[in-house]
This record gives sequence, structure tokens and C-alpha cells, in this order.
Amino acid sequence: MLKLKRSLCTECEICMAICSWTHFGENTTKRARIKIEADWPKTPVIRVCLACKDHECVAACPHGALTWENWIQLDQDQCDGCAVCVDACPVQGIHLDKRTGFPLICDTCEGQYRCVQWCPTKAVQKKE
Amino acid sequence: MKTWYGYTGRILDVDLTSAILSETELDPCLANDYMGGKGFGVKILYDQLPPQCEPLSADNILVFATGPLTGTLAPSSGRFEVCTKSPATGLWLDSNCGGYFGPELKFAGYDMIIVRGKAKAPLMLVIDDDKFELRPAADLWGTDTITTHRQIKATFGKDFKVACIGQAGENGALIAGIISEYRALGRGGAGAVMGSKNLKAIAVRGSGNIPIFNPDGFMKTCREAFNELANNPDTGGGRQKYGTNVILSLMDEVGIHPVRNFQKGKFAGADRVNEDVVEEYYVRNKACFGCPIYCSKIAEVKEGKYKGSFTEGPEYENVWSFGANCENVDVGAIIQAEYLCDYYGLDGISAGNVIGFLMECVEKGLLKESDIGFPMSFGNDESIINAIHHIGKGEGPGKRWGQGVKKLAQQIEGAHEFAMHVKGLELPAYDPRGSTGMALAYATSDRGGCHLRSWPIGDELLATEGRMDLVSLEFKAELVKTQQDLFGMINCSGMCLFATFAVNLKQITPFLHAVTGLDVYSSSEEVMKVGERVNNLVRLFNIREGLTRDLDTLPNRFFSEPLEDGPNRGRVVRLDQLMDEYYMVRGWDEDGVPGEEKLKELGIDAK
Repeated sequence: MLKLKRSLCTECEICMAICSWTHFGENTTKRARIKIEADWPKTPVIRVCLACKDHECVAACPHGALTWENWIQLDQDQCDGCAVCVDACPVQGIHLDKRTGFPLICDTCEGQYRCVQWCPTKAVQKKE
Repeated sequence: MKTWYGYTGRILDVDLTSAILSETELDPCLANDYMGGKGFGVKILYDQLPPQCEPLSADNILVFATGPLTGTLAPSSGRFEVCTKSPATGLWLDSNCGGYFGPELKFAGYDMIIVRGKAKAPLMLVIDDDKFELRPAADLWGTDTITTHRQIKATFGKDFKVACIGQAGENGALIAGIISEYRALGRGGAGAVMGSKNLKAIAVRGSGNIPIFNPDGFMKTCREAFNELANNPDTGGGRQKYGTNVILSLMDEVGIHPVRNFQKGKFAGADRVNEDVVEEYYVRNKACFGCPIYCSKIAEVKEGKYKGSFTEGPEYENVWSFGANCENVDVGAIIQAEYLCDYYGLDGISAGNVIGFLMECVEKGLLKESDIGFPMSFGNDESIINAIHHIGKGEGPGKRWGQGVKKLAQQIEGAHEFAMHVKGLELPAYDPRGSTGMALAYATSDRGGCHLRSWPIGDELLATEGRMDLVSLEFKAELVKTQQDLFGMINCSGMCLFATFAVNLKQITPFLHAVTGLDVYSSSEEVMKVGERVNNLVRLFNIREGLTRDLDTLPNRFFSEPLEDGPNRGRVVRLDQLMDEYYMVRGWDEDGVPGEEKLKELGIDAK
């Protein structure tokens, strides 16, 4: 799982770019499961699933599309893009894919943690 | 329709006079021969700008252009260019900026925006993916850039990226820049051009993807380049810690850091204004899109007279222009000054030069304090802050000061000797009496007094191997020419010049090829040729606008006043031999006109 040190974040958005690249093979920041929310000149906020114990998104989903197995898993066949999970997330760590309407939730790149590897300042870290 | 990689293949053409917006396709020849950014700008301006057009008239064209690497994962590739005819020099102007606007424009699906004509009333351009429109901006007119950014984001959405002008650009100050995501396209008066067109701002949001031709090759080169940047002592060390101020003490030590409007080469206040002191003001690190160097900083003044002031910076040039150049030792004032320049939309280098120039005018008795309206003397921090407010608002004599040093000196008898500009653009923070490379770089820079067309001081002072003698003339013409072509190409690519401290041409070439898939970018020679082609076409543009050899020179002070202190004591600039050599190396004749053979070699058709 991820842990964040937002005071180290420089807003370079490399995490967003590598996330979109890894999951969709697309060079964009807009399909990322992690999001840097800038509020210049203040320190930015990093919004991403932190894998909380309560799994409130799973409980909130009215369609049973979300389950927990190592990370939050989405069954796209059950999901209708209602975004209830987005509102349920206590850390605002779920984003909607503008292209498909499905929620984007961190899957740790199935253990590869690409954002952690690419972050130049260790603002995004792996929680041991 | 052609499938594009790296490029979006689409251009947004905006005519403000008729309010007609149209989408056009990118010409493949443009991508092959001129790559992007500055290259796109010069080809369009050379072909389409009416010769001798008045820069602040509806005839002028303002091009916002990205490069093929802009917005990609290639490191430090968040850059875009604004190209136009400069109202400060009457010649070519391109200004480069990082931040997030360039990548967002690509994500929205455009390689560039061409702005023509003049709106009847203040407008802003809003681009949301493939939807675009002009909207009234009367409510934003008269507003500073920081409020303008916030207001636009509050109205349209916080993920919109903005480029806008402040009051200085609206008022036609020739030292006004464009501010984008709190960073500046400062130099040469692009802000005044935007203001003359009644265009307050451009806001863009995009959700698209930039297709990559060879994803595996691209990722391999990315990893290598990110490693190079992390392991380089500058990009992975000093620049991360200190930002661009990393070289402050060194420049002072070698006597190149100009003091008192270039009267001296050694700063008595260097112990109070240096990278270690400035670093104490840094609150956090800040980067542009996709950049692991994070040379930008957020700085805040915690105590003293300027308590509460903050800025993104202050960066090296402004620490000099409001510091040593005005003999000011209050770092708080420097931070406030840089903030105010961003706030009003002013260029910090030119503003600091204007103030240093006014200080010297008063010191020499050419201006009286009553001409100024408040105390104006070297070392007085309040002189600096007051002057910026006056210039920014265009208040009283501030309106005249905003026209820059060249125009000011024409109105003040005897001031010509110490008007520190080249071709009408004020000089940056290196004294050419201590660096023959910088002397030639300034004299031959296509936009006037600039350190970013070539930066020979790097090879003269900082290179780990093959370091050159600072004041020798040997090989300086070749060095400046080669760097100008490299930097020219980088400013076409979308990558940042700072990345080239660690990432060399042998890595940039595979980037360009993997991203675009264009055959022409499989060879480093061809890639460098783009830089040379661009510089030669800019030269032709400048000659058409009236550039002659006698303007390829420096302020008289550097020829007639030897430095009195520091390691370069007694030195003046000798330029004639260097200029002859430079023209020869360039394949230009003795008047600085590109020869037919050179143009043929570069495939330039000079109509």
C-alpha cells in the first residue's frame, strides 16, 4: 500500500503520467489513479487510495462491483459508473475515468508500485 | 487523415478581429524541417507576418507552440514557446516557459495556437478538449495575474491551465511578459503584444493522450535519461538544493556577477545575498510538469520588513537584477520584487535593469529625485519596490520606465553610455568583460541581451572536461555557434535547457525518434540541423526587419570602461575579431547575412 509525504511533493505529476502509462499505455496524466491537487503556492494534496481497513467504497457500492483482494478490485460488468464509491472514499482517493466512466482505484500496479519507483522526491512511498 | 505520433497534428487558428476560430492540420513538412516550438514560430512568422509590421498593431501574430516532447514522460518536457515580433527590439522574439500549460494544450489536442488580429473589447480564449470559444474578459481586465489565474480556475474548473497578462501587458509596457501557472514568459514584451490584441488570457483543459511511436524504445530512453539527471552533480544535486541560485557565489568569485548596473564586478553584499542565504527562505521544492530537477522553489519571508512576502523563486536572474545590480542586500525585498513582477506581469530581468539604470541616472545627476517622485538610489530596497509598483500600474513616470532601458536612454541626454541592453533587450546576470563567450553570446543573440541562446559560461567555468579559458578568444565562435544550434533545437523540442546539462544529444535523438517516428529524427546530425535551420531563418527574419551588423554589438560601457575590481580588473571586451570569426563559422558574409550556400545546405527557401 502507499503512504504519502505531501511536503516532499513538487507537483511534477510524474506519478500521474507513469500511472496512466502503466495501466492504459497512454501518455497522459488524465487517466491516473493518483492525483496531485495543486493549490499554489500551498503544499499540494495527493489523492490516491490508501487502502484503509474499513473499505468504505466496497460497502458503499450499490452494485457489488468492488471487492478487496490485495487491493480494491473492480468488476466492470457490475459497475454502472454511479460514482457512489467516489463520494464514500474518506480520502478522496477514487477518480473517475473521463473516457470510460469507471472509477480509477490504485491497484499498486499489482505490486510493482510504478509511482513509487518514479517519484523523484519519495513523496509517494510504499507502506511496508 | 495522417496518423501522428508525438504531435497532435492539429492547430487552433484564432482571428481576434473577426472572432473566427478554426482548426487546421499540421503540415508534415513543418514537423520534419522545423520540429516544433521555436521552429514552428519562425516558419509561421517568416511566411505570414507582413514585413515591418508594427509589433503592437493588429498585424502582429502571437504563436503559442509546443514541441513533440511537450507533455510526454521524457524528463523535463513541460515547455512551450511564445513567438512574435518584439515591441522592445522590433526584431524576433521567442520566449520559453515551463509549468503545465504546454502539456495541457497537447492533452487538449493542439500542437499550437496562432493568435491574429485585435479584439474590440477584452477577451479570453477557453479551450476544453475539442471545444473552444472566445469569451468576454472585461471583468478580468485591470486584474493582476495571480487573481486572474484564481478567478479563471474558480469559474471554469481548477484543472484548467492558464496563460495570461497582468496590468503591465494591458498598459503596453514593453518589458511586460505573459504569466503561465505562476511562471513567466518574461522577456521581450510578449505581454504587451497580447495586451495590444485585447487578449487577457488563454485557459486550456485536455483529457487526451499523446501517442508514442515506439513505446518500448521510449521507456528505455526515459529510464536512462532519468538516471543521468539523478546522477548528475548539477541536475541531481546543486540545482535541486539551491535552484538556479546554485551558481551565485561562483559567479561573484570569478568577477562576472555585475554590480551597480554593470559598474563593478564584485558585490560587497555577497555574504548577505548568496545561495546559502537565499536557501534559508525556501519553504518547499517545486517542479514543472514531468521534471525531476525541481529547480523551482516556493520562498517565504518569515521576519523583517517584508514578512509575509512569498514567491515561486526567487531565481538566479532576479536575485541578481534586484540584488547586486541595484546593490540591494535585503533578500526579503528581492522576494517581494519578484512576486510583484509576476503579479503585474513584468519581466524581472528587464525591470531590475530599468531600476538599476534609473539609480545610475540619479547618481550621475542626469535625473533628479523630483523626476522620479521618490528616493531612488543604489542600495535602497524601497526604491525597487516603489518603482515596480509604478511600472506595473503605468502610473506617472512608471509608464515611461516600462518602455525599457533603450527607449528611456533616448530621452535622457548622456545616459546612452550606460544603457545596458543589446538591440533593446536588457542584459542578464553575467558581465561579458570576464567572459568572451558571453560577450559573443549577447552580441549575436537573436532576441537581444539574452543568456539562453547560448550559455558559454557553462563550458568556460563549469565543464568537468574540456574546460575553456574565460577570457581567451580561442574557439569561442565555434562554441557559441554550436550551443545556439543545440539550444535552438531544444527550444523546438519541448524539453528544458536545464535537462541538457545531463542528457546529451545522443539521448535526445532517440527520444525524438521514439516519440515521433519521423525518419529525419533518427540522426543526431539532422536533429542538430533543425537548430541551425531555425537560427538561420530567424536571422533572415531579423534582417528583413532591419537588423544590420552594427547592431550585433554590446553597450559601450563594456568597450570603454575597464572593470575596476575583482579578478577581471582592467578588462574590456574586444569583439571585432570574434564577430568576424562567428560570421565565418556560421557561413554568413561579413555583414552577417546568411550565404546562399548555407541556405541551400539547410534547405531554406528565402523568398
